[in-house]
Amino acid sequence: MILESVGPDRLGAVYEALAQWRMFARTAHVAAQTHQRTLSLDLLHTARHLAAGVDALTRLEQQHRHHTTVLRNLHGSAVHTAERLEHRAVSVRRLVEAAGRVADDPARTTAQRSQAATIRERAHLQMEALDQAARLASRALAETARLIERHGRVDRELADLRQEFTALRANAERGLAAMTSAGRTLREVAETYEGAQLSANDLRRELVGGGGDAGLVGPEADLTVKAPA
Amino acid sequence: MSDTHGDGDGTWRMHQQAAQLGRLFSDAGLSGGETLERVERLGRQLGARALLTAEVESISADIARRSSRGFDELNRLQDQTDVTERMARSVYDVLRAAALTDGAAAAAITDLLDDLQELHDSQPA
Repeated sequence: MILESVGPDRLGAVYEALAQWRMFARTAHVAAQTHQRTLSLDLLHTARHLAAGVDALTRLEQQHRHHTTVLRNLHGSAVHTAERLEHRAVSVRRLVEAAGRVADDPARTTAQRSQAATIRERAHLQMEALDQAARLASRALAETARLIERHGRVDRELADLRQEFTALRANAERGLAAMTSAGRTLREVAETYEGAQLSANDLRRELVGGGGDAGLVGPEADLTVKAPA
Repeated sequence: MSDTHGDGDGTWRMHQQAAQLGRLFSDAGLSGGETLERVERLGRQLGARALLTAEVESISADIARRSSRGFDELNRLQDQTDVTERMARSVYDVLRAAALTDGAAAAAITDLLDDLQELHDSQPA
């Protein structure tokens, strides 16, 4: 019998170490499972959050593309309006001058000169309104140019962000692959742990000769519950 | 279970336990056989798992940190896009007002030109 050749003191120490190891193995395995579950949940949560981010980015890119068209049209419209106002201003200036010539023409009757003066005044009012409109159009033109310039910057920033989200999604996939691998390892751990428990019991039976001796626990006792004396 | 080595699942202690068991078995003149072999294998497997999960933790933390920045950037760009939209509407309103003024001026100028033409056509005093 091995017990006789080894001696109860050393065998007791082996027993105790074995019992401790089993306790640690169980605790470690349970901790590993919990850790794994927490990590998996974290990673899934992150992946879902990221997917929502990618959707939001796609919507923003669509909105941005629409704005590209809107701003281009707006700029074209601003240029066109400014040109039209400029031409109109030339026409009204000519009208003011023509009306002025009649109003100042001594060959005309007083009534005719007065009527021409009224036309000149009205034309002048239109000229002022057109000047104001031209200032507005000029401001709109500058504003659209500024918006288009800023829009181009956002364009590049959106492209960078798309690249970053693509990289993050690839990382999340790498993480999920590592989790799958870790899950496989954990299943192997569980198998080894089961096997180790069985062979520890076999070893114990071998050590005590199947009968329990020298103050050691019996072969049926659970080593994880009670360490040997 | 916690330990001072931060592997989160006591892998280091498993190794310690396996080494201690190995020594005790050897001191006792026992081979340890399959039990010891499995103890060591379990330690190795838990170590491999710890490495994989550490990689996942690192990836996950990196994603969380970068995606947080990404979301901040996304919100900023969304705000900027909303501002652009509001400003574009405002520019549109301004242009519309300018175009309306132009339209009204065009009509008024036509009428005034007609009046002036009529005046021209009338006989001087």
